[in-house]
Amino acid sequence: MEAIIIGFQTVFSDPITLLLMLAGVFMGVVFGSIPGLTATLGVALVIPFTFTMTAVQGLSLLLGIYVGGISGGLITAMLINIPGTPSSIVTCWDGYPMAKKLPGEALSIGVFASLIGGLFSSMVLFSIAPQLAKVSLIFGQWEYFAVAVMGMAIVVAMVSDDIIRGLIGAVIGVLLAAVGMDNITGVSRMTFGNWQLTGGISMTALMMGLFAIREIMDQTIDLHNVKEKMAIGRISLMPPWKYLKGTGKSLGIGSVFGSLIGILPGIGQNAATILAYNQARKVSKHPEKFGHGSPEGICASESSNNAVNGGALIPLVTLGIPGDQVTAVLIGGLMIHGLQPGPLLFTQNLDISGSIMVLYFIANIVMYIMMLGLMKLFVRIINVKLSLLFPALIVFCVIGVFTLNNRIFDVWILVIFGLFGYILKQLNVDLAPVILGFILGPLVERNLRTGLVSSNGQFSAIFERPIAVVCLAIAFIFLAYPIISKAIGKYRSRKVAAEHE
Amino acid sequence: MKKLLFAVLLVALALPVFAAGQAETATAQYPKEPVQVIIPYAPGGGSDILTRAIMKYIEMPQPLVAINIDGAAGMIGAMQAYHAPNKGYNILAHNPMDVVSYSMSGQTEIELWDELETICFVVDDFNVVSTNKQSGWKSLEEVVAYAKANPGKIKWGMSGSQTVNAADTVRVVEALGLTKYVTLVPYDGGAASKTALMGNHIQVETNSSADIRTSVASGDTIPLMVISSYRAKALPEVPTTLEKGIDVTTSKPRGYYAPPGTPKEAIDFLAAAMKKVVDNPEFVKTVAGLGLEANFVDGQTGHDKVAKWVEELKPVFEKLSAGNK
Repeated sequence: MEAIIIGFQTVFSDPITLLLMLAGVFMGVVFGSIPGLTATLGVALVIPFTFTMTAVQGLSLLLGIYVGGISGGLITAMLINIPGTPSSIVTCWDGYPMAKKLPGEALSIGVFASLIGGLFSSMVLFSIAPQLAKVSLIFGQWEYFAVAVMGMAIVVAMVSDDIIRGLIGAVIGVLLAAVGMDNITGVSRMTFGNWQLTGGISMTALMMGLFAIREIMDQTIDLHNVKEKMAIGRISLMPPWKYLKGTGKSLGIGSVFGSLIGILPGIGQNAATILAYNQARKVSKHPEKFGHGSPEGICASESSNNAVNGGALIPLVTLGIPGDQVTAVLIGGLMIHGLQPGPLLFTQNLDISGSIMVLYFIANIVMYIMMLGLMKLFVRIINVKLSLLFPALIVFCVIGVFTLNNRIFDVWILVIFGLFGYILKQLNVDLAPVILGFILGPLVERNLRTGLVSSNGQFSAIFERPIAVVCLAIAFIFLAYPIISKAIGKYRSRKVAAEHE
Repeated sequence: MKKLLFAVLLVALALPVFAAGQAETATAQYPKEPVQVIIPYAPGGGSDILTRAIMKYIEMPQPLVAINIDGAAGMIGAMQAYHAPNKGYNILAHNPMDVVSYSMSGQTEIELWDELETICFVVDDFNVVSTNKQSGWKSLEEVVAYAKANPGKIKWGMSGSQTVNAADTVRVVEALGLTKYVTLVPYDGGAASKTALMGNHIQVETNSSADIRTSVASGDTIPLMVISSYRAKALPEVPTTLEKGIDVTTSKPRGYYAPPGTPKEAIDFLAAAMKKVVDNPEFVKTVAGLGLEANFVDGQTGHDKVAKWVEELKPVFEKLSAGNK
């Protein structure tokens, strides 16, 4: 509590800090909304400029970009079905169908869900940060392994209407993630002797290839059709209640899932959105509307990706452990100013840790107001002829992917997986399992192997870890549920038939 | 008024001409253009901040420009530097002991540590054997006694399994006579190993002094022994391997390399400029905050030092990779 008060004092005593916050959120929204330019890139580009600022000013700018960057992705995701950042891939599924008919309403629901996710996670950050930090310590190899298996099981459950194609997608994802140096044994896999491949396949390049380049190719087929101009009416401070009604459950699921996944280092927004979306569909009263413009789907996706941000700040503030790529860069931002992100930061630099919490909270509110205010402008930009817009977007994708790691090789990955994604799509292979396989596959593998090494090859060691066992049990239920429910259904119908006889 | 404005604009336009002309005479020799430094890790990491500190304090007629190329534990950046033009305008910031591991583990046929020109080393880091506060151990002897009394109970974390960190861990464990008594667990880098130790998933770890400095300060990590021939300034109380009679003294310097065949003139210029930075007390303070120890070593001395370590490490790496098969 003391930290929060000191944080508010520190932040509001310096007007430049607040100005930088505005600049940061704006830059974040712009980076987030342009495919190829991501929050990670924005933060990395700005880091050198924070050298000359005070620590709190620098943090203000960086946190602004972080929050703006994750939120801005929904704009292009909804308006042209191209995710601005990988964390908005899921937003396309319902955001685009809804925005086709009601662009203003869809956008305001998305922005509202981002706000709720952000505010929920910042409340988590405010209230119980030090206690929750222990979660990141309790989780060892077996827990991570079990959580990742649970995520994988959800994939299988998700594609239950076409299991084979879903599994093909997941396996492709797992195989792609396995390319490169294996960090446990230090051996190269599937690199075909090419040293460029030892670094593996860049996640941003892969996702942007599969979801931005591929989508642009998809839509180019219809380029001869005249596009209807989008127009949005007056924007109110809250989205219309008519659409917001019934989204409570998915907002809750998104916020909780996002915050929890954020606390666990190394999983990140992309997996969080997919998992939250599927869970929201499971508990929804109208699961059939998911994928056809359901506000609930938008809420699950957008609240979860923003909630990850706040969750990821918890291990950063309390332990000095980064929760995702962007917080890893934030740690550098602190070290530049001679601060030591670690267990002592929270107690010794109360002003800094308090400021991080408060700045994150403010960034979410600034993001909400700014996104609402800029919405008309976004729609006007998107109304540009697609034959002009698409080439520009491709250029941004190339620039963004290159700048993130300064390698032309990543640009080739972008192009190749744009084409590959197009082929997969023609074969009706769902691309969502590819992402989950890519993110969760390495988590399963690495943690299983480390776990086995540390227990001398005894898999039974997992049964000494209650959290891991519970997660595995849930995974099992997910996998078995369709079979069991089918069996029960058969049994019932037989019983009914028997009674009739 | 219009005329005045016109004149001012004209002068303004002419200024760069003069400026450019001056630059021309001042830098008739190397460097004539900005020098690109490849940092083979992501922005914000320890290596990144070290180079940015150097960039801040270095005095050169042309600036250093940082380029982050992350991937394969620093190997992608090193390979990119190996293939870069060798006119003196492309250099590499790297940790020699990581560079050594790329060829020793068979990742590449190229002996990068030898083929690249060593410009200089600027700071030292150390591998430290530590335990956590949960274990209650205060000295290495207690660890050894417990391990021998309870075979298999102690899990010992290290960073990677084909790295100098892993090789040194294997050698230290062997020298302590614990090979059969402890389980070595490879982690995906120093941060992961540190977190696992704090959560008591492992009881002992070998990790770099820079990685553990914050948890040592908070009392969560208890350093027991520094792998070095002399005591680390950051951990003055902690005995070294040499004091314990263990003949493993590989430290972890960080330095700069240039592509093979870079002109000696350029290398000497850069080394001299960096020596000045290392002599700057402000720089020494900055890197101390990162958990590193400023220590300038010239290229030839550095290269020979690494060559000696490579000889020591070769048989250990052979054993490590045999274990994989």
